[in-house]
Amino acid sequence: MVDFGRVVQNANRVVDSAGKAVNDAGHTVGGFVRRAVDRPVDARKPQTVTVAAPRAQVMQFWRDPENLSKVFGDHVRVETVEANRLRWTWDTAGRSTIWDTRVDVTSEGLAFVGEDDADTPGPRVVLAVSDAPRGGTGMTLRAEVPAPDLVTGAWTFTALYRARALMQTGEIPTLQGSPSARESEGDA
Amino acid sequence: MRALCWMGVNELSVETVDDPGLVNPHDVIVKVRLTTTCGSDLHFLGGYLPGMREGDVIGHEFMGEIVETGPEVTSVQVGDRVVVPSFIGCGKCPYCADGLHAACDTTNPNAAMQQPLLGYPTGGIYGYTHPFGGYQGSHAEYIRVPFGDVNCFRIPEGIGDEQALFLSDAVPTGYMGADFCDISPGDTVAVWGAGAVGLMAAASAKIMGAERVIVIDRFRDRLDRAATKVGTETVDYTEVDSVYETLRESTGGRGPDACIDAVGMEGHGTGVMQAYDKVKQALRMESDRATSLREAILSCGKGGVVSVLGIYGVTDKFPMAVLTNKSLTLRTAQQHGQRYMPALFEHVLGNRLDPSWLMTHDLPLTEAVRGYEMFENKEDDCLRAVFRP
Repeated sequence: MVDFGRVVQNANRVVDSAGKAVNDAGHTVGGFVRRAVDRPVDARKPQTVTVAAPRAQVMQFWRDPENLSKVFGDHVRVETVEANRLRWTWDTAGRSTIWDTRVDVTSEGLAFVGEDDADTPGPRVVLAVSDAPRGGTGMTLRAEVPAPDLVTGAWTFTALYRARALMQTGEIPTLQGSPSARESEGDA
Repeated sequence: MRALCWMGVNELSVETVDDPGLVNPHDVIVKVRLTTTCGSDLHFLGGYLPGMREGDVIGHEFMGEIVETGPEVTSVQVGDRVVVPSFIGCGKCPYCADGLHAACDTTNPNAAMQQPLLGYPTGGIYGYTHPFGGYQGSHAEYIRVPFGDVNCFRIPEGIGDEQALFLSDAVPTGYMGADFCDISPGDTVAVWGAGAVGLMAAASAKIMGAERVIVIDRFRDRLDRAATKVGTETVDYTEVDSVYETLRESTGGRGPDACIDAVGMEGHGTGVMQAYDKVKQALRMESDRATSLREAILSCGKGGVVSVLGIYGVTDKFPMAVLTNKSLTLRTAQQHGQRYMPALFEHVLGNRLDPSWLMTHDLPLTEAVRGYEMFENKEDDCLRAVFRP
């Protein structure tokens, strides 16, 4: 007669050994989980968060180039070049990319719109604001830019997340300057 | 300063790293007095949770003394002896306002990494993978604590360092798990896992009025602690044919009123399902061995609560039909320590709760690698290894 309990016990032992060998090889589990994390999300798809602030304050916040520099990240600098015109300077991998945009107040919110050239349309970063369910202001951001490798859905979500943090708490969560043995990150 | 760093899967090392400094105006720097291992660390040590990077300082359960405060910190000051919950709250967002600090909307610098996985990101946590914020951990001489007013709790006179340490994570996690159970006098609560969190869940269930608490594990020393330190009944699952049948028969055929899973993704067990999980986990086809979770759901009496404190990744074979057909309520969260801290201080001061005995091994930080080995392998009946940086 087959001792089923013993068979299962032996199977457990074998699998234990196999599992340990795999672990010792230094692999990590959840490859598909990592792929989900690593997959860039299209910046043309809107990202939305709600901030506990009135609409007027939100609009004011996004029109300030100093705030834009803070929320759009460490490789982007936003400056006023003349009334209603902003210059976005990207410093990545040792090269600079510059966009000039005008600031349009639209029925939805704000649009940062660059000039088209002969071959490619200019950058277009659009913020829509709305009354959020249960209070606060919904902020929806989407971006269409000529250099999609610079701008992903993670970039727009991070900008919204930081904007909310700055408006609600007065600071942006950051690891910048926070030491450990690892390379600084979290601000890219 | 010296710190314990993750250098690769199953590879730790005590390294010299830069001292932390104030970054934001609400930051506090804490000189760590005591910091402890946690079972959830084992998930990323073993490579089951992704998102660690070589050199990351680990550790999230700690207490110490404030040595520096940012210009906008008002409620704590240099010299205060404090305990800090492992998840970081901002105190301003709607989730913090509702006492759900682990779900904080503003403290995760890497929120965009987590969004594709969870839909909506959690707050940050110290020393626990980059999707969870990438913050430097507590197994170090100093640690930066964001939003010091919200996250640093001044320890009352009468509570020792060794008691306060575990109010950072093990106690509030267990307490929250018991709180989820909506315990009424006379209730029976079963707890899977006699590690520090499970034992504190059991102790909390008793504080909240449970008549019977039954702890399930396979390690004799841990079950003995449950019996002697907490006063629970125990079940050694290796000595019974079926945990479900054992619980059913000892509760008049009704099952426990609530079941708490304090085990998580690396659970052990017996039977076909455990073998099946091990195969799939070894082949990287799932990340979890969810034996205790399935057992808790099956064992729970009709209309009961299943409270999940164990950390899971991707679980398959989830018995949804059992939840539905028995009218069970499933409750789970990462711990909201800020919400419970005042009550926990009162329980310790009132001698209803003393978690200091969780500390079975007291080591200098320089021996932290050895401490983790002992903790992981449960050598010398190690329940928690505590480091003094």
